Amino acid sequence: MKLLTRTEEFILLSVWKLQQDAYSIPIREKLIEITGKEYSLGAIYMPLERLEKRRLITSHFSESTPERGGRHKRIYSLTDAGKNALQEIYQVQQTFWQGVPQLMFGWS
Amino acid sequence: MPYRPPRLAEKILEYVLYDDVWKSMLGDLYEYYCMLRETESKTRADLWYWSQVIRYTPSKLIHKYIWTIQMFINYLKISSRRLWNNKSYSFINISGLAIGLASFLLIGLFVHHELSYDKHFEDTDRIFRAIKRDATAHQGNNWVGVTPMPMHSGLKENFPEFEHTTYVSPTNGMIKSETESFYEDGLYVGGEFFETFSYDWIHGNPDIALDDPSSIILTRSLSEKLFGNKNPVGELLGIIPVYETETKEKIITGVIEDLPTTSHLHFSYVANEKASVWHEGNAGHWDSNGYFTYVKLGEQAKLNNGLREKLTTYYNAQMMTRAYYKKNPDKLPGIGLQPLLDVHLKSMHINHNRGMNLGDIKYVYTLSLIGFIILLIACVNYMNLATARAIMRAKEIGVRKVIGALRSNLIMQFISEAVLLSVLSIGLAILLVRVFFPPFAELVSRDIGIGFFMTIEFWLSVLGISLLVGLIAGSYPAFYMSSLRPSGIFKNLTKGGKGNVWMRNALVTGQFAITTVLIISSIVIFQQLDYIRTTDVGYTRDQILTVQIQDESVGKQYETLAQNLRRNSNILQVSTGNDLPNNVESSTSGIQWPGKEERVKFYLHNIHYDFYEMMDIELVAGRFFSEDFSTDKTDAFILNESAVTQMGFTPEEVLGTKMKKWNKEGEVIGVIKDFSFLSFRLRQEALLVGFAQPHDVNYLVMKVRPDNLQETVAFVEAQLKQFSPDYPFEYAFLDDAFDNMYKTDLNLGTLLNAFTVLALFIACIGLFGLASFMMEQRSKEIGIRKVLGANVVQILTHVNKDFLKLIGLSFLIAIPIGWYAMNSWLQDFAYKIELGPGIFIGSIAIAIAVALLTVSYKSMKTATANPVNSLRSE
Repeated sequence: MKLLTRTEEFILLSVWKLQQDAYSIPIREKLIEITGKEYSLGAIYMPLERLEKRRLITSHFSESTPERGGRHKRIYSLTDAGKNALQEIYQVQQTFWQGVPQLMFGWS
Repeated sequence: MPYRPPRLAEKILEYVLYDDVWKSMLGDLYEYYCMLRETESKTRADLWYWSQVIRYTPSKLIHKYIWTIQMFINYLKISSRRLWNNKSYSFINISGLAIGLASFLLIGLFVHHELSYDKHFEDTDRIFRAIKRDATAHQGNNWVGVTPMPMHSGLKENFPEFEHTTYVSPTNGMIKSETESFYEDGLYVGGEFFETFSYDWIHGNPDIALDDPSSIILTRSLSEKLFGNKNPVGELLGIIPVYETETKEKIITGVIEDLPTTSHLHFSYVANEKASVWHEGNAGHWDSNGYFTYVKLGEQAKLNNGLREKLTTYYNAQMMTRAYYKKNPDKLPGIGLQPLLDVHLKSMHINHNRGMNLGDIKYVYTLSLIGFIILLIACVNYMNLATARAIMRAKEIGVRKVIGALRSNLIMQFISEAVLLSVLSIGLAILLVRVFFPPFAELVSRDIGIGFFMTIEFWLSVLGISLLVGLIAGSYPAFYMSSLRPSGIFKNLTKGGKGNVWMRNALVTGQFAITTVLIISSIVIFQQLDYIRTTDVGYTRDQILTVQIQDESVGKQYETLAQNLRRNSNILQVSTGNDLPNNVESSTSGIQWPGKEERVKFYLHNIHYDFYEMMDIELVAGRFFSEDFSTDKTDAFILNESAVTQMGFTPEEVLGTKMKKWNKEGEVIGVIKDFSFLSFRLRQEALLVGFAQPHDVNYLVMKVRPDNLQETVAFVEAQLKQFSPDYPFEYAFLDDAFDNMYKTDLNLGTLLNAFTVLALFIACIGLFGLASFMMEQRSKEIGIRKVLGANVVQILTHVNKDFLKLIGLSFLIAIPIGWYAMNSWLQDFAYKIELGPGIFIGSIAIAIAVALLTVSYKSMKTATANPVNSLRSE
């Protein structure tokens, strides 16, 4: 299968973690919080669109809320394929990391 | 949340992110925006929001319209292929539309020019001309453009409604510069001229420019002619006004920008009227009318019936002092106000508009109508050909429908096809306009100039017109073709719908009806104009040389001048008068005679010996002025028949009657037959002929031999120069001057003729296209008929029958309309032709001949073709 990029991976994880609240703004915040890097809104939309195209996530529209000026939210959730993909990545990483001495000791 | 992103940006995004899937982005952006507002400045947040607009708009817009654009490109591609592959068809359509559009644009330019007269003044809708109703006029025109001089001050003082009032009298004068002398048109003005009319001032101050009685204001071109680029204010200028002999020193107090060509007053200078020789005699006199009075209504004032009545009451109070009106109060005149914007186009019912640039609203209406008609005929061509040829593209329509095109898509397609065609045609039309504009402007005798090509308005209207024409021409074919049903199309390829044929027949009939009306009109107009030129006006105007005399001093030496002129053997007779017989201008109602009951308006003609004799004007009773009677020079009058009838006499009775013209008494010595001294549009009026005094020497008239005309004219000029060396020599032949009076009508006739030919041409190429298409469709039918034994004549009658029916029907429509239109046009003429059946038969003959020739060209080809060719392939 096609491997996910790092951003895609993080987004998938954020979607899973945020559950009912998984829409663009909190996803972006989560990403910034964890990686400490700045993400623009557009940088979130593109991977979200790709993931949806690959059917790793689906989306639905929430009820409109007054604090968003009466606009809908587009809430994302993981599909089974998405969950599998996360698991697969986890396993790939585990396999790769096996045999590497404890991180903290550095490589030098 | 209380924040609000920039509205415009939000609107744009709302429009761009129309798709359901993207709608949530709006909310995201909003939320992010609010967050930014809390942490950063408003400007930064707004900037960010705008950057999002810039970021998303292009991609989403393309997404939104990509298919529309794709389809449109496809329509254009298909349309241009069709145009290219059917060249003769495209040629017919494009040339027809181009000619129609070019005519329409030319006429539009003229109409626009005519409608923009006097719009350049500030508050021009508040300016009016005071006109007088003359209840004593014998008949017809009873409005008079000129009013007494005290009118302006009287209105100003007694009516708070009027903010400013002024009076104007056109004049001209000979200006002497160091190197040359020349005539310029000017205005004598009084009152608040520059307060009423706003001009662009280059030098000088409008508030004080007219304060000095000898002040004069020049237009820019006259100032440049005399002084170059120097500021001439304060300089002196010598000028000899017309009818005066002495040079008057004027002081220049201002320079104004040249007048636009759309000004009903035309002049190169404005002078204070107080310096005119006529001022003394007219100031304060209510019974001499000689001035145009203009008033400017105050901002709050309303022109209503109350004000109109008050005006008339006020004016009549001034007139009531006269005995005549006390006796005949029903003959009291009245005052009306004519809006300034109407003066140029709607003054045909008003007499005495000397020196004004006037047009005629009827002329504008007629030409506009013709413009629309020609454009309509061209549009109909397109409709007919497009619907007739719909069969050829039935398959395309069917396939498009089967693939899923909606009816609206197809309508869009066919309309855009028509628009493409009309845009192509307008390119050609603009070329035609560029080429034909100068002769057209010449024909309508307007100084319009080619400057409009530079204005945005022109190009916008061109764009608008081409879109509109495409829309109109394309609408019916689009509606019809999109209605075809795929199932029907594929089953039965060759039958057009019944309704379609019916509509097409109606359109062809309409086209020919309109064209026939145009043919009838041009024939009638030409016959009428010819009638005017050739009919007996009561005098002969061949070989009469006329010279205008501006120099007052010539009058006193007339006898000597005449003696000298007679010495040339080519000059048969010499005389002089105050007016030429084709245009006697001055008139009065103040003629007295014993037993006078009716107030009669007399036109005044003052002539010297031989004047009427050389023009073969006939006597009814009595005699002409004669050198044998020494009293003729001082106390003799001649009347025309109309005058005698209006006075209530017979010609024999009136001889010897003592008449009084102002303070001059005289006896009637002769009665002449009526001759037409006014326009042909007017009836005969009374004429009082007196003997010419020196100040009446306004025209020299000479009967000359037809040969060596050049030499004769040169001789007259040399003779005249001895008496009046400073004045330019201006001559004309009476028959030319006569023709000039009908120049407008003649030009209208020429224009109408040209447009009729164009309309006929467009209608014919349409018919040609239709006929050739029909023949193609019917070539097999005709082939079979021939094989079965029909001869060429039978086939021709058979196929032309349908067209002839339509054309016959169109005559039934055209004749009543043409008769009605021409009958009302002729109403304007006191002397007119009869609308006989000959005119209508002639028009029909022309229309039938042209139509038959057009149709037969193709049917002849098909009928004489070898049937093998059309039948061998299936």
